[in-house]
Amino acid sequence: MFEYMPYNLAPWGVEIVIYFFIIGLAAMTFIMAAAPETFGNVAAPFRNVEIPGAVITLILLGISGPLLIADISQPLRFLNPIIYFRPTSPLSWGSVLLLLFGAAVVAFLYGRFFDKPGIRRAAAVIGSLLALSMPIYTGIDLAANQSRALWATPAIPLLFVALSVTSGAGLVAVIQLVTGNFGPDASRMIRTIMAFSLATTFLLVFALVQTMVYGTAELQQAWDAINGEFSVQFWWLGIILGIVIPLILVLVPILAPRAEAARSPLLVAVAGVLGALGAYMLREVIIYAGQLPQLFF
Amino acid sequence: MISIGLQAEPSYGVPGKKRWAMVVDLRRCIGCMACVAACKAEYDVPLGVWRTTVQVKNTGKFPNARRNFMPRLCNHCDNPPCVRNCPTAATYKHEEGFVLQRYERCIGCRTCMIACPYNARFMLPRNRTRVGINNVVDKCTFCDHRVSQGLVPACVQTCLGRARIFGDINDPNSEVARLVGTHKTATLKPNKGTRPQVYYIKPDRKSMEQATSAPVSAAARRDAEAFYRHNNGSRFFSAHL
Amino acid sequence: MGIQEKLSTSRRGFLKLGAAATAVGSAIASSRLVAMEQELGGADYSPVTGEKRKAVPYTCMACNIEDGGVAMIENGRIVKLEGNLKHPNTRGKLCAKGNSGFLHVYDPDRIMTPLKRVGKRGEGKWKRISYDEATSLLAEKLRAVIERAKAEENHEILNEIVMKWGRNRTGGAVKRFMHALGSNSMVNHTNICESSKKVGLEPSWGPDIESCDWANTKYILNFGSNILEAAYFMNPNAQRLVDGVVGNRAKIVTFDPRLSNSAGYSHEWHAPYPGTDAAIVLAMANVIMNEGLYDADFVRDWTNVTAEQLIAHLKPFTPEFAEKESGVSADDIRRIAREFATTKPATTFSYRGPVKHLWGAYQEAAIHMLNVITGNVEKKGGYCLPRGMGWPQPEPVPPAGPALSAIAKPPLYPLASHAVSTNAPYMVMRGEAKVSVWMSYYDNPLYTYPSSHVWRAFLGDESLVPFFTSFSCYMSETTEMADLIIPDVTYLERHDPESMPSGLYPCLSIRQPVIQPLGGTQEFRKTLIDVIHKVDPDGSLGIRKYFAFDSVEDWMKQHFDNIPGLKEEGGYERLKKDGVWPVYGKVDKETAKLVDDNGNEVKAEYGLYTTEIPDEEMVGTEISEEGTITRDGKPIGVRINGKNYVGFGTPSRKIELFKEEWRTFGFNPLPTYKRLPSRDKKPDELVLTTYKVNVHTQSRTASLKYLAEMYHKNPAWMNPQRAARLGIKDGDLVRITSPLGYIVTRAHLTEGIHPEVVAISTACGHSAYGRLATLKQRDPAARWAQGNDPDIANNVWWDDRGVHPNPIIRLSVDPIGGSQGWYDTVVKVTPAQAGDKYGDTDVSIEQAMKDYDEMLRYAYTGDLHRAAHKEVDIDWNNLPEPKLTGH
Ligand SMILES: Nc1nc2c(c(=O)[nH]1)N[C@H]1C(S)=C(S)[C@@H](COP(=O)(O)OP(=O)(O)OC[C@H]3O[C@@H](n4cnc5c(=O)[nH]c(N)nc54)[C@H](O)[C@@H]3O)O[C@H]1N2
Ligand SMILES: Nc1nc2c(c(=O)[nH]1)N[C@H]1C(S)=C(S)[C@@H](COP(=O)(O)OP(=O)(O)OC[C@H]3O[C@@H](n4cnc5c(=O)[nH]c(N)nc54)[C@H](O)[C@@H]3O)O[C@H]1N2
Ligand code: SF4
Ligand code: SF4
Ligand code: SF4
Ligand code: SF4
Ligand code: SF4
Ligand SMILES: [Mo]
Repeated sequence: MFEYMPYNLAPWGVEIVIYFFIIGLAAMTFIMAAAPETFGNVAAPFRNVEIPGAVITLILLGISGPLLIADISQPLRFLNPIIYFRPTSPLSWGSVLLLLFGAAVVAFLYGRFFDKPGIRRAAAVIGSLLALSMPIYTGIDLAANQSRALWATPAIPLLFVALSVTSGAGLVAVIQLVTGNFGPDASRMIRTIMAFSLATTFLLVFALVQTMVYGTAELQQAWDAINGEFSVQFWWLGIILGIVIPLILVLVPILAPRAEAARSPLLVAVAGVLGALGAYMLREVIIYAGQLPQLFF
Repeated sequence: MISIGLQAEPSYGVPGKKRWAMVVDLRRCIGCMACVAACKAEYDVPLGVWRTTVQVKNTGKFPNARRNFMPRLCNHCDNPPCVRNCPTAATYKHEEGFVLQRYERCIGCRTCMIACPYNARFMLPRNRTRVGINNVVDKCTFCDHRVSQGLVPACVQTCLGRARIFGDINDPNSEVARLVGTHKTATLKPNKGTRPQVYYIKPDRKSMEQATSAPVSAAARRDAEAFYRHNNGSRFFSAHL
Repeated sequence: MGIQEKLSTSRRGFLKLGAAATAVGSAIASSRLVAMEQELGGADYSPVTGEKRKAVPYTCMACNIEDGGVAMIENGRIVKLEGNLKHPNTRGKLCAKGNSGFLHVYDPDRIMTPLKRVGKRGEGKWKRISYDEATSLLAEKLRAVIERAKAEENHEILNEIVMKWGRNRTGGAVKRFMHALGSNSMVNHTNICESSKKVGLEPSWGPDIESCDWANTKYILNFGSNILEAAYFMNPNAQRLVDGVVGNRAKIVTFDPRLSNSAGYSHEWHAPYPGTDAAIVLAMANVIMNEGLYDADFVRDWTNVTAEQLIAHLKPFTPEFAEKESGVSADDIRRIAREFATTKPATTFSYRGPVKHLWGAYQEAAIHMLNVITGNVEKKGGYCLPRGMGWPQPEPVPPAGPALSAIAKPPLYPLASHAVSTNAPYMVMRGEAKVSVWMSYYDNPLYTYPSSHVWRAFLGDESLVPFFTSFSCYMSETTEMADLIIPDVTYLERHDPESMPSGLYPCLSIRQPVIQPLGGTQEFRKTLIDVIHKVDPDGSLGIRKYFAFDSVEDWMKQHFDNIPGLKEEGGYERLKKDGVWPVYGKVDKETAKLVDDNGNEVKAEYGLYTTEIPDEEMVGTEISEEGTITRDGKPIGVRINGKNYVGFGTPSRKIELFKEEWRTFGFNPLPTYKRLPSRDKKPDELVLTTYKVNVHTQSRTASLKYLAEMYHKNPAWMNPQRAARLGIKDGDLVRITSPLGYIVTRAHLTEGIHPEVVAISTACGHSAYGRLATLKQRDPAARWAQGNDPDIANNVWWDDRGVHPNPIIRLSVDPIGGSQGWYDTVVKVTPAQAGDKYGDTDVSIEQAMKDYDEMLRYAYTGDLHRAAHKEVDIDWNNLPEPKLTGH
């Protein structure tokens, strides 16, 4: 007999990657859409994204919910995590938070359309907090697994927040561009946000890479996978196209305030789209490569 | 506290409590696969998924080649992360140590599979021969339905080499307790904090390594590829087969 | 919903039970200081409903080792099998095949109704008919032969009724049937199996196999038996081997050109050049004899040779000579010989590896001799006689047919007591035998025989085989060629008597229908009764009386109801309940030894040959000069040092290392080594070896899904260094070419094989045998088939069914043992050529016919025989004439 292998599948596939991406995107879009309400005038340039942002958030939630339900093998039991709520399960928390977040978005829009400032305000603040919990919970979903060395670090929720901020900012930029409202204030703000989120992402990824290079056997396996089958996705699409280039695009106007052309809102939107793409790629690589070291265990 | 999220507290070494455990004596395993077949039959386990497996690996160079066998199954961890992470408590820990499934509750989110450091869990496909439980996660149950009736598990029952030995490790007079007490044993990935309750006797480096290594031979790799091809061409869970 | 409800109730029940068990457990633990260990088996419960499953004992036949089993039945369906704890040798355990055996019953491609061919032979077009129509048709064909024999007053015509079988565990039913019809043309399969082992042993000590006391030994020398995966008796012996090696700290040394699981488990693995075992063994014997390490008393008293005679005979077989022949170092041979002779008790074990060669019988005789000269025979922990039990045949028993049959026992092989079944098609094609009705039972030569394509040509030719009936329950490669198929039932649905010497405790066991045969199928023995009743409806042919059974169960009763000891305990009814008799004791939970109610080991008996003949039985006997005790000319014992012992089953009642009968035909009477033609192959060639794997049985388990999942393809094992020289990489497509033609398969590079050898297992590469074996699992079921298994139809994930090597394996017959030389084919392995596809097979019938002629030159009348046996002192011009003996 030659080797007999019990072949295994990695449990989480592309549906989860998309879900994580969309939910993070939705969450950060909402935070920015609700920012004028939450933070007041500082965020005034985002005023015009309030409605499209919240509506798009709702649409994204409308995609991600069914996606998640379709991904589970017993879709009809999708309420079980709430019915049998388990405090130690990030996923249980996630389900509850997701529902509440959805409710907050609805409430926000309600308050906006029916001009109920109290509700609007409360929904914005609470909804933003809930929105923040979205990338965090998906990150914890990964980080809670000691079995997956690449994921088992608190950096993952942070990274997911940063990735979501980038992609959310990107989406907001696009919304503004499309609706023709992308003024200099708004684009400066988005540039600033993206500069922070991209820089954070860069540092967190750098830290992760460090742990992999010097890491345990499993981390090294993940590192091999990243540099092997995922190298294009990770280095070119994730790092170069997804972090470095957008970072340059958003930093140039800040560092060189006189470079007029660099301040074009279009460039910010391009940076946002690239950043979102990178955010997707990095998520996918992390989710995939994190599972591979255990494929044959 | 370590037991957060467990329906039953860790019971290894707790007086007055049962703690079922298995000893796998690698000196005695002859790779006969009887355990694998017995387990499949006992539960109508479908093709493509396994509650238990025995890995086979050759080592050395001709003429000093050797062969190693490595039986694997759920460790019925005393501190099982699969239970902790399950959003519905579909997987739970019984007070005697079994880690079990409530099939009717499981949503098939595969979080437990992600959480298990040992690949001990799998998704049941749509089609089986006889049993009507499908599309939920399943795993080795330590044959709780037999053990509770005073029998050994099915794989232990049939183990030709008597390599699998089962009993209450908290009972100092049980064979498992004596074996673990008097032999060098190892558990798999103890650093994961799971407190596995499957103990391996005479775990040489090769056997332990083979538990985590990818297939090397073209024959095995081709099989792996066929396996993924069957899963719509992906190594990642893809559609419910 | 239903399942969920059941589930939750059973869980609740379980929690309660679990708590109760804790209380009981701890109470006992404190009072007895012995753990309340779990029961080892005997019962089973449904994991879904918690309900107890019905348990019915049977005897396994997923392979031929006949272990005791218990079938667990849920709602009339066999859902689980386990070993029978009452069976003294099985001890409650089944191997992977045994555990999967119930899948035979539910095989979606099982034939559920008799079939009559409507298209061309082998075309696969069938008409469904009833058992009644089928048995009438066969009876008509048989009756026609009988009437023709009568009309032409030629008994030989009766021998045109041929029955060929592979597995025949019917307890004599086939022979009874054939003899009742007046035919002696029974063709077994033993020469493709292990017959040269039998022939190497029988003339020396009587029985055809040894029973090693693995559990109590200290040293095991294993020659080419893959005892942990196959061999007789895999399951029981493997259990005890592990007990011996781990529990008793025995050392095990294995000789096999290939790293089998047994070799991989051994303390030492040596890979000899194929077919050179005898050189190694004789060199060991040489060392043992010359260094005075032999058991002088045993050799003097119990053999028909002297030490001096042996020393002289062994002179040329030095360790250096053996090293040259086998490649195993002389130092190792010396060391192992010394270890073997000085470690007590010790034993050898061997199976097909050494014997499936031209002159295989010599190799077995040599291995056997090692045990004899070291005095390990019938010692605790040693090399013991097999222990079986018999049962009577119901009277009246039909006499043998009136004319001796050549096809049953080819006359050129007088010493081959287990015949030469491989030669059957060639004999018919050459006009040396004639066929009118060919019947095939449990047999698949189109797959399992060497040069298997010859069988296709033979059975496909209506001028050679005018009528062909198969009694198979599966559409095998062979059954596909039949004119009439009368399906049998599976081994879990029928009656058979059994007694296998699978350990040191002799026992009887039975097969009984653990469920009613599915879909109205009928067991073979019932078919035989029906056919005989139709051949001779009124008894006028005088053969009906041999089949005067109401039912097969009635037949079984007649076997078992009057066996002394068993009769008192209830006869057949008792066997139905326990499955096995006698029940020696319980299996100890921690040692797995058989123990009585007090926990004391049930001792096995040893030294059977030293049983003394009671004085009253000596009355009327004669004692020869050599001490042989005879009654009415029949040897019954031997007198040694004034004591009368029963001795061994040989004419002298001693171990006959010197075989006079072999000399008569020009063979060396003492174990010797003959260099095989394959030993002189060209440097760029390899020797092709074939083997079995732990999870498959022969041609018949490729359709069992659990086993097919574990092992479904059989790439050719090659040593990496050798492969590199040939430009072959792991997984490459290769062409393997023998003089017969070639196959295209893949290479599997492994350090576990001799560089001069390429090994391809059996059990894969089916062209028939159902949809799973041929990987057409998504095709619709044939109309005669059982149906579908959704698991197979949807969940089969592998896409490779392997390539079978038998078409390129050459016919090669041991002139003594009659055995097929499976491991003698010399091949060339090359990277596949342009256009070669995986599985391509191209072989020639002409070359196969040439092989037949070539092979006859090694028979005792042939020129190559004479050339190879110059040392034998015999009048070569007056060898005995070939005689017909088959009956
Ligand atoms: N799993 C399983 N068990 C079975 C069976 C089965 O089909 N499957 N069938 C049963 C039957 S019918 C039989 S006959 C037995 C056969 O049982 P075994 O004889 O034990 O098995 P094989 O695989 O036929 O051959 C044994 C070994 O011989 C080696 N060999 C080849 N050439 C040589 C040589 O020249 N010298 C030496 N020393 N070794 C050599 C092969 O590599 C192989 O490992 O098994 C029985 N048990
Ligand atoms: N390459 C290669 N070839 C080998 C060997 C090898 O090691 N390598 N081993 C050889 C050996 S040792 C042996 S013994 C032979 C065995 O070869 P065979 O004697 O031909 O025996 P089986 O393969 O067991 O096949 C018996 C056939 O019986 C039929 N059958 C199955 N179950 C039943 C049943 O319940 N009732 C009836 N009536 N029929 C049934 C099926 O059609 C099956 O194909 O093969 C030999 N061939
Ligand atoms: S798949 Fe089922 S058992 Fe596993 S975590 Fe999800 S709900 Fe729990
Ligand atoms: S081995 Fe895996 S499935 Fe089993 S208890 Fe431990 S973590 Fe859970
Ligand atoms: S304990 Fe039971 S479920 Fe687990 S591997 Fe053994 S037989 Fe299968
Ligand atoms: S049944 Fe026992 S000896 Fe056989 S493979 Fe399984 S663990 Fe090993
Ligand atoms: S060795 Fe396995 S298949 Fe053969 S009789 Fe025994 S249990 Fe059955
Ligand atoms: Mo055989």
